[in-house]
Order: sequence, then C-alpha cells, then structure tokens
Amino acid sequence: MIERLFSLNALTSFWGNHAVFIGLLLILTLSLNLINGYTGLFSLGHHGFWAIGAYVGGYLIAALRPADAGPGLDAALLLAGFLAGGLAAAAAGLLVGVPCLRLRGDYLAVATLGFGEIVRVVINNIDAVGGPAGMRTPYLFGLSGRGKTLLYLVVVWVVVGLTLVAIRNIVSSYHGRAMRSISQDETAARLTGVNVSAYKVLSFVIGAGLAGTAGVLYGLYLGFFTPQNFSFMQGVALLIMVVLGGLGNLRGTIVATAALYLLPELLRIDWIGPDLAAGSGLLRGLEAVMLFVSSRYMIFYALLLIALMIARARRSMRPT
Amino acid sequence: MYELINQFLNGLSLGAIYALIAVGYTMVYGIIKLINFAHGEFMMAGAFLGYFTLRLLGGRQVDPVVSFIIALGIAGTGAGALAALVDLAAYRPIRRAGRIAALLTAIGASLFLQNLGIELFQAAPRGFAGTFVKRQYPPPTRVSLLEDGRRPDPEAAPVTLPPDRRLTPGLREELRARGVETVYLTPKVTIDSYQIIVLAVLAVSGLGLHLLVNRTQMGRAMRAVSYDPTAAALMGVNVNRVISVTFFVGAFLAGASGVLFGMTYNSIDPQMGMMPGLKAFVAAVLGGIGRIPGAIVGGFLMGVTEALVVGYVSSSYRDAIAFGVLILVLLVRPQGLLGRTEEEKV
Repeated sequence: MIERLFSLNALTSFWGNHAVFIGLLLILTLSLNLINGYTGLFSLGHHGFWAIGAYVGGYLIAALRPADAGPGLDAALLLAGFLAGGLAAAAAGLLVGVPCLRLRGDYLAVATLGFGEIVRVVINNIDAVGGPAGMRTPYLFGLSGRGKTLLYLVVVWVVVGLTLVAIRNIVSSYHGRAMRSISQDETAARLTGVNVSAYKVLSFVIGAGLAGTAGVLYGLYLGFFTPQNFSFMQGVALLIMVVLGGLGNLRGTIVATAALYLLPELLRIDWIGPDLAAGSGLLRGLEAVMLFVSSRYMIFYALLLIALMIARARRSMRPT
Repeated sequence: MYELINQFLNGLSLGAIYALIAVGYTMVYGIIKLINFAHGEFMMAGAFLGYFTLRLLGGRQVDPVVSFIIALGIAGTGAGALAALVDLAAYRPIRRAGRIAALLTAIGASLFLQNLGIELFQAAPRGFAGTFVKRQYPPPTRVSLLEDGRRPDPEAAPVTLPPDRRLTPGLREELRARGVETVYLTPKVTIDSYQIIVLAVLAVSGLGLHLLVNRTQMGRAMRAVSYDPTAAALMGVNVNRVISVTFFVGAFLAGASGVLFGMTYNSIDPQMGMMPGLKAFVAAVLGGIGRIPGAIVGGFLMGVTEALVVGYVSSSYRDAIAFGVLILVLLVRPQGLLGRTEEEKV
C-alpha cells in the first residue's frame, strides 16, 4: 500500500492530479478571501466568476486554435486565453460590484448567489458553448495523460504563487488596510476618508479576475466541462473553505482548502482497494467504516460542516 | 387575451405555493435574522410524509376530502417537528456566531436533509397519488353532432377542441364525415380543482396565521422577540420557546405546501425543495422580509411572473427570472414592497 501511494507513477498521476485541483481551489479561495475576508463583502457568487473564466478562456482557445498548432502558438494561446478569461471575469466583477454597493450582509449574499445562478442558466442557453451538454477544450501541446498533469501542475502552481504574492502585497499595502477597515466598520472607514465604494468594487474586480484565471486553467485541465461543474454547491464549498480557514487569514485558507479537498478523497476506498481487504480484521473493519461513510459522503460532509460551525462558534464565544 | 388570463391563473396557484413557503422564511428571518436555507427541505419532508399518508389511506374506504386533510395535517406537523429539531440541534448553538456562520450552518442543514432524503427515499422522482380527480371549471360543453333519429354508435370516440378552435359549420361537416358524434368545446378561461384547493389552503392558513400572530399570547411574544429579543427576554418571554414555535409554524405551512406541490406537479423527489425554497425566499425579500402579508404578496408576484415568462418567453429561463427579479428588487427597493426602512445605528 505504501509503495503504491509513493511510487513514481502515483506521484505523477494520483497525487499530481490532486495537486492540480488543490492549486486551482487555492486560487479560488485566496481570491474569495480578498472579497469575503479582507473587505468583508459576503459574496456567494464566486462560482459565477469561475464559470465565466472557464467558458471565455476555453471558447477563445478552442475557436482560435488550428488543428496543427505548434508549441509556440499553443503557448501564446494559453496566455491569451488565460488573460481573456481573467479579464472577462474581472469585467463581470465590475458589473456585479457596482450595483451591489447598495447591499449589505445577507442581501449581498443572496444577490451574488442570484448572479451565480443567472450565469449558469445563461450558459445553459448558449448553444455556441454546448449549453447543458458541455464544452470540450483542446489538448494544448498535444499533451494528454501524465504529460498534461505535469504541465498544469507547473502552470497552476506558478499562478497560485503569483496569486498569493499579489494578495499578500495588496492586503499589507495602504489599499489593503483600507479594505480591512471596511470589513471592521464601514462607517468609521468612510469617516476617516476611505473611499469605501471604490475599494469594495476594486476587491470585487480583483477577486473575480483571479477566479476567472482559475476557471480558464480548470477548463483546460478537465478538457470537458458543463455548467453543472459551476453549481451553487461549488460556490458554497469555496466559501466553507474560506470561513473555516479564517476570514482574512491566508495561511488558514491554504490549510483549510487542502484539508477539505483531501478529506473526501481520503475517504474514497478505491485508492487503497484490495490491500485492505486482504489485511487483518482491524483493517477490514476500517474498510467497512470507510465504505459506509464514503458511500454516504454528502450526509457526513453536511454533518461535519454543521459540527465545525458549532465548534467555531463555541471557540469564539469562550472568554479570553 | 384568454391565454393571458389562463397563464395568470396558473401563476396565482403557483404563487400561492410560493407564498406558503415564503411565510415561514419571513417569520424565521423576522425573529432571528437567519436565512433558513433548509426551509425548502421542510417542504420536501412534508411532501414525502403526505405521499406515504395518502398511500396508506388509499387502500381504505376514506373520503378523499378527509384523507387529503389528514395528509396535510401529518405533512405539516412532521415538517414542523423536524424544523424545531433542526433549530434545537444546529441553529441554537450558533445563534450569536455571526451571519456567515449562520448561513453556512443553514446550508449544511439543507444539504444534510436533502441527502438524508436521497438515502431514505432514493433520488428518482415518484408520482404523487392525488386524492382528487382534476376537473376543469367551467367544464367543457358537450355538443352532439348526431342527426335526429340516428342511433348513436358506441364505438365513436369524442373529440375535444382546443380553446382557440370554434366549431364552424365546415368543421362540423368534416368531423361528421369522420364519424365523430360528440365534440367537447373547451372554455376559454378555465381553472382546475387543484388550483382552487391550493388557493383555498392559502386563504385558510393566512387567516389562521393572522389570528395566531395578532390575537394570541404566543403571537404577541413572537412580535416582541422580533422587535427586540433582549428586551423581550427581560420582560419574561421565553425566547427559545418562541423561536421553536416560529420554526414549527413556518415549517408546518411549508410541509403542507409540499403536499400541494406534489399534487399539482404529480412528482416528488428529495431535491424538490431547493428551487421552490430559493424562489420563496426571493418572494419573501420581494414583499419585505419579516412581513407576513409581504411574503404572500411576493409569492403571488413571483408565481405570476414565472408563469408569464414560461408562457411567453421560454421555460428554460424560469429559474433565472427569479434571481433577476431578486437583484432588481434589491437594487431598486431593498426593503421590499411592504417593508419599512431601518435607520443605520452608529
């Protein structure tokens, strides 16, 4: 079992695949933390920006790429699609951010939730991108399988690094202090001369743009996706990672994102498989428990979510 | 024109279902400022309870009206008890932990109930055995094409004309030549028995709710807690009990609406609560959240808008319209149609 988990094969395909997804999620949760955590805007529509990036970037690359594209052209297309997806999502962020300036708290949450749902319904009705049947993206550089995983492993984690540096620099700058002051007390921020509206929109635009770039890479890595990949539940899952990691806490976000992504994957039985069944009674018991939990994964995920929220509330209410 | 009126009537009965769900949303929000995402799942629970009750009663000789009322009662009580339980187990511990925690807990409760439903009842939709025969009012008029003195042919099938077809002399001859003896003319404006039942249930519940909130001790306590929970507690109101009762009453109506929804669409499944729940929430916001009459007005507006969009634009946009309306309302009049503005305290 141990050899299987850490063989070269497992490192590149099994863990490599998960590392790509963790990286993509990190771009999304870190950018969501800028909106939700640092600026304190309760957004439930991050999956909408993610979808816009995936569809705009994917469509552009698929439409522009000739069948016999060389590596130079593919690299240019990757960059162009990446930027286009990010810019389109940032534009959507502007579009959502400006009218939502009037809303606060729960109302903002519900309006952004509505935005995410509208994006999904609209994509469902656009035939050029496949509607509900989904869209295919080309294999850039002719890579598939392990080569593709390695390519996106490098690209995604470079983007994760850039995202982290960008957000850290923003939040520790003058502008970041302005954003944090809004999350602490909007009225006080306004009274001390912070341009509250401008910073709210700015954090929406930056967060959305980053989510869009994650969408482009996600779409290219998957190779095929449908509007269902960007459902409301995906948006909720992102928010849960941010809240459990800590609003306005980048390190916590990283840990929570990786942990919450890996948790269901570890519960899945297929990567241990026959080794356990051949093992001792204890291992077989463990397998039975895991099988029970993993086949009812969503129930336990929901219970865990409630339990974590209650634990978090207990902790924050303890006198210090 | 008659088509517009028919769509409007469809919208009214759909809106009545949304209104029944929205009332619970608005009551809970009014009292503890929680968007109870699991509210749609209480409706689902009610639909399944009603389904099993009706199946159980179906084999016995029970009057359809009585068994329908029993099903509504069991669905409502069960959903209400479930809601009070969810409040006790999940919401009470996080009551002072902030908005995001509350919303995520509610989403967790919603996910839990949905997936528990899938575990217990399977994900595939089931038909909902209604107790009533669906009748159109006014009923179609029967026209006999039989000439005097001829013997009716028992094999001849009757023909029903759609509401926009008139029985012209030419058509009469054509049908007669095909051996048709009876023609039913559909009236232009019709309402069916299910729609009447839905509207009647809403009327009765609305009246009951009005009496409960405005004429009873518990109603006064609810209003007090909604106005200021701390002051209400200091005046001797048992706040937690009031909240439990609010959850129960709100979910009772949602559970009953689950039976109505199943009856109207003849299909129930564990995830049926999601979309009506969200739309009912939109209806509550539209009417002014925290205001019971607002929820009913908002429910009707949502239902009619949806019916008109489905009838005249495209049914694939039926779910987007709800959120479009929501965003529009929030931007133009965030306090809702019947809501009052609150001043910001610094």
